[in-house]
Amino acid sequence: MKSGRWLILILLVFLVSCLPPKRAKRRPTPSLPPQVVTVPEAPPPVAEPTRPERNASNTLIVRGKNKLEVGETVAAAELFHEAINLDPTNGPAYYYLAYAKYRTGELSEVMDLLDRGENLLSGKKDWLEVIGQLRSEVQAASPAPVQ
Amino acid sequence: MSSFRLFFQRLKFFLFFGIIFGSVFGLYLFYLNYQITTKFEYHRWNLPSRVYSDAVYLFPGQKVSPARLEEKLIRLDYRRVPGGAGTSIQASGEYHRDSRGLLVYLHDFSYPTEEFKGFPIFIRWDGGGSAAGPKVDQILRLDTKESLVTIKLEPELIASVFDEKTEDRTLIKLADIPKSLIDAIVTIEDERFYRHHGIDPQSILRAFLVDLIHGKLVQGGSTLTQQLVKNYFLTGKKSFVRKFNEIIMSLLLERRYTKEEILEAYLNEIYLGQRGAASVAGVGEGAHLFFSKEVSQLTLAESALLAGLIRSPGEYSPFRNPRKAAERRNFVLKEMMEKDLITKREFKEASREKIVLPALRKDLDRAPYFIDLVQAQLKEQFPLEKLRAEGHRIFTTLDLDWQRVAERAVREGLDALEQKIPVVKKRKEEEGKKLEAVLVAVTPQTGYIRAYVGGRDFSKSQFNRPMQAMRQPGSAFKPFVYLTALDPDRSKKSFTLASLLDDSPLTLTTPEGPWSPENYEHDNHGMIPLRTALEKSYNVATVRLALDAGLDQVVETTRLAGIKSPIQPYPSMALGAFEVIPLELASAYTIFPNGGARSETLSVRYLVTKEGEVLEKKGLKIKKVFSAETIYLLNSLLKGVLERGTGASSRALGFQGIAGGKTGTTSDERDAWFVGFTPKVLALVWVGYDDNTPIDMTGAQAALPIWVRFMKEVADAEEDFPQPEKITRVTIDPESGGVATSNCPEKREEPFIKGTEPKESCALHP
Repeated sequence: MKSGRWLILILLVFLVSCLPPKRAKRRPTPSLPPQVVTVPEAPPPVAEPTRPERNASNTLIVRGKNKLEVGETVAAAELFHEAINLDPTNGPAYYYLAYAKYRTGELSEVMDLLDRGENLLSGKKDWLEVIGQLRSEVQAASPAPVQ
Repeated sequence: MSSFRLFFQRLKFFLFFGIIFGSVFGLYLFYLNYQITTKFEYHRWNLPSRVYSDAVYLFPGQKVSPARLEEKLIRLDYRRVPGGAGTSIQASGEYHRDSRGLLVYLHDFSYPTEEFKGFPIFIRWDGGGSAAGPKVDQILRLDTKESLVTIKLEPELIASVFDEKTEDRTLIKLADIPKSLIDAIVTIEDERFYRHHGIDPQSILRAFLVDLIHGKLVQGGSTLTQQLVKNYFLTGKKSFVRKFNEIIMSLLLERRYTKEEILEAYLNEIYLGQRGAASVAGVGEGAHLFFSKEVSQLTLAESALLAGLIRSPGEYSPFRNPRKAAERRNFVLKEMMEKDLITKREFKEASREKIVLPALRKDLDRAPYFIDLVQAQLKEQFPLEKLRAEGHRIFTTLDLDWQRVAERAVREGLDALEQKIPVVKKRKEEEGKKLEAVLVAVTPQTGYIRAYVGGRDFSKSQFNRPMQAMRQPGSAFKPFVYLTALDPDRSKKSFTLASLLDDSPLTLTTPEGPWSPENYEHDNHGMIPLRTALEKSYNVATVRLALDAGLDQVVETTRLAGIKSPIQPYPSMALGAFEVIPLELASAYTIFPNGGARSETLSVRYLVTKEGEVLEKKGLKIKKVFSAETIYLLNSLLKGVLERGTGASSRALGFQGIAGGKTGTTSDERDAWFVGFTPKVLALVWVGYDDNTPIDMTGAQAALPIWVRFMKEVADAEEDFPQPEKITRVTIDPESGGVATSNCPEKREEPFIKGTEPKESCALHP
C-alpha cells in the first residue's frame, strides 16, 4: 500500500510539473506627443446672468480653448461637446467644436456645426464674421466642395 | 509457493493496478488542471456590463432644491453623515446637509475621457425666496477655497446587464486593496494562508476539535484556496467527491499560481450579500454596496466589517443586523490586534467607529424600456452575450431626474384619464383594459434621449412602444405639410404667413373612390389665414395646402426630416393617415427647435471596456436639411398652437413660457399625440390602446396633459427661438393677408422671409 501511495505522489508531482509556464504581460505602447496649434481669435463667449447654464457652458469652452492651445484637440472637442450638452443653444460652443473638428480633419461635420452656430448667433456680427472666416478656410482646405 | 514468488506476484498485482489507477488518476488530474487553467487564466468571471445615465452639471444659479439634490446624492450612493461644516465629511462619498447647504465629498469617477478625483465641496442655496424656487448660490471647493463655476456629478447606474447567475462584481487588483483589508481577511479566514500549500491539516484538526467541543459546526477548516476552489470551480453540494476535488484542485492551484494571484482571485470571488435580485461578489463590489467607496478607500474599521461578513453575509449584514455586524467587526479587529497587525489604539478607534451606510438600492432597473432600447441599438456590434460577460461600461444619454419626472407624468396622467373619462374608466373597470402611453424627451440639438417611457409597466408588457409601435400620427404630421408649403425652394406654389387657405368642403377622386376630408368638428370655415388652419388643425384646408405644395414634395420633406416609414403621396397623407414609429416622429420634430438641422436620436454616448478602452463613441451628428428662415416661420405657427390653437389648454394646465407644438388625433380617435418643444427640450407623448380600440379623446385631452406635467418640471421655457438675419416682420390684416392699415379691425405682426413679405395694403380695409 505504501508503494502505491508513493506511485500516486510521484505521478502527481510529475503531472503538476508538466503544466505550462505563466504568460508574460504586454507592455503598453507609448502615446504620441500632442501637436501645438494656434487658436483663432474669436469674440469672448457672452455671459448671460439670467441664464446660469450659459456661464457654466462658457467655462467649459474656456477649458476647451486651453486644451486647443496645447494641441490636445480631441480633448478640446470633448469639452466643446460637453459645453453644448450643458447648454445646447450656446452658439460659440458650436463654432469651437467646428474648429476642433476642422483641426482633426472631420470636415464633413464642420459646415453643419457652423450653420448651427450661425443660427444661434444671428445678430451678433463679430461672431458671424469669425464663423464666415472659418467657413472660407474650411472650403479652401476641402478637397471637394463642402455643402 | 515460495515467499519470493509470492512477493513478485503481489508486486505485479500492485504494479498492474497501480498503473491502471495511476493512469486514470493522471487523466483526472489533467482534466482538473484543464478546468483550472481555462477558467482561471482565460475567463475568470462573467462581468455584467453596467449602463449609466449621462453626467449632470451643477452650477450657481441653477434651479434645484437641496432636497432634490440630496435625493440624487442618495441615488449615487452618497452616505449622509452627522456633524458640522468642514469637519464632518472626511471621505469620498460622504455628505452632510444642514440649514446652510450641502457638504459633499465627491466620488472619484472614471469617465470615458478623463479620470476624476473627488474633493469636498460646499453648496449654498439662495434661501429659496424667489418664485422660481431655490437656486444654487455658490459652489465652494473646500480644499482650495475656490469658488467653482460648475461641477460635474458622476453618472448614475441605471442597470446592470447580467448573465443567468446575476452576480454583480467589480474586478480589482491586489495592489488596489488596502493592507488592512487583506490582513483582516487572512486573519479571520485563514491565518496560515501564506504558510500552507492549499490545504492546512493544522486548521482542519483545530476546527474539528472546536466543533467537537461545541457539539456543532462552529469553525471550518477550509483554507482561502479551498474556499476559492469551492466557490469558483465546484458546486455548493456537500459530497465526498466534491471534497476530494476541492483538495486536489487546491493543491494544483497552489502549485500553478502564486499566493498573490490566488488571494486576488479569492477577493474578487467571495460572496458578500445581495442587492435586490443580484448577488454582490468580491470586495470591490462589496465596498460599493456597504460603503459606497472604492475598495482602496476603505478604513480599517470598514475593512474589518467586510472581512467579518464573509462567514455569513446575511447574518452579519450591517443593513439587516447593524449590532451583530458591529460585534463581528470588533471581533475581527481584536484578532488583528492580538496578532500585532494593528495597535491597541487603532483597535480602540476602529471599534468605536460608527457604521455609516448608504441607502440600500433595490431598484436596479430604473428605466427598463430605455435599457431595452440601448440593447437593441447596440445589438449588432455588441450582442447580449457579450454585454452580459465582458463588463463593459455603457454611458448613455439618459437624465435620470427627467426619467423619474417622465415616469411620474405618465403614471399620474393615465390614472387621471382613467378616473375622469367615463368610457375609459368603464373599460378599465369592466374589461380590465388599461390605457398605454409613450413619453420620449430629447435634446433637439444633440438628439440625446433624456427620458424614455415605453409603456405603463415593463414587468407586465415588454412591448417597447417608442421603437416598435406603428401608429398613425394624425394631425401631429401637419407641420411637415406647412413646412413644405412655406419653403420657397420646395413648394410648387408660394405661401407665406399672410396666405389665406380655403377650408370649404372638398371632394377628391381617389383610386378607392371619392374622398371628402372633414374637420374634427365636422364644420367648414371658408377662407382662413394659414396660421389659423394649423393652429386650429383644420383638415380640409391642410389637404388643399398639401395638394398645392405638392404631395411628392411633402414626402420629400418627411424624408429629409428623417422619417423612414413608408409614406405614399396620397392626399390623406397630409392628415397623417400612415404609420410611423414614435421615436422617428420625435427625431423628425428636432428640426423645429434645431433651426432646420436634423439630429438623430441617440441613446448611447460611449461604450468602454472594463480596462477603459473606448470601443464606441457617438458624437454630435447634425445635418442641416431646412433653411433656418422657413423653420422660424414654422416655429412661429407652432408657438401659436399653444397660445390660441388646439394646444391652448396647456396654459390652463399651468405650462407657461415659450414653446411650440402640435396635437395629433387620428380620425377614429385611436391615437392621441402631442409633440412639443422649447429651444432646449423636445417631448413627444402618445396615448392609446395597444389593440387599437378608440380612446375617444383628442391629443389635447389625452396626451397634452401628460406633456404639461413633464415640461412644467424639466423645461426652462424663458428662452425664445433665435430669429435668423433674413427674417423681417410686417403687421398684416389676417383676414385679407395684406399690410394692415389703420382701418383694419384686427392686426397681427407676422414674420416673413425677406423678399416674401406682402407689399399690398389690406384690400378689405383700405
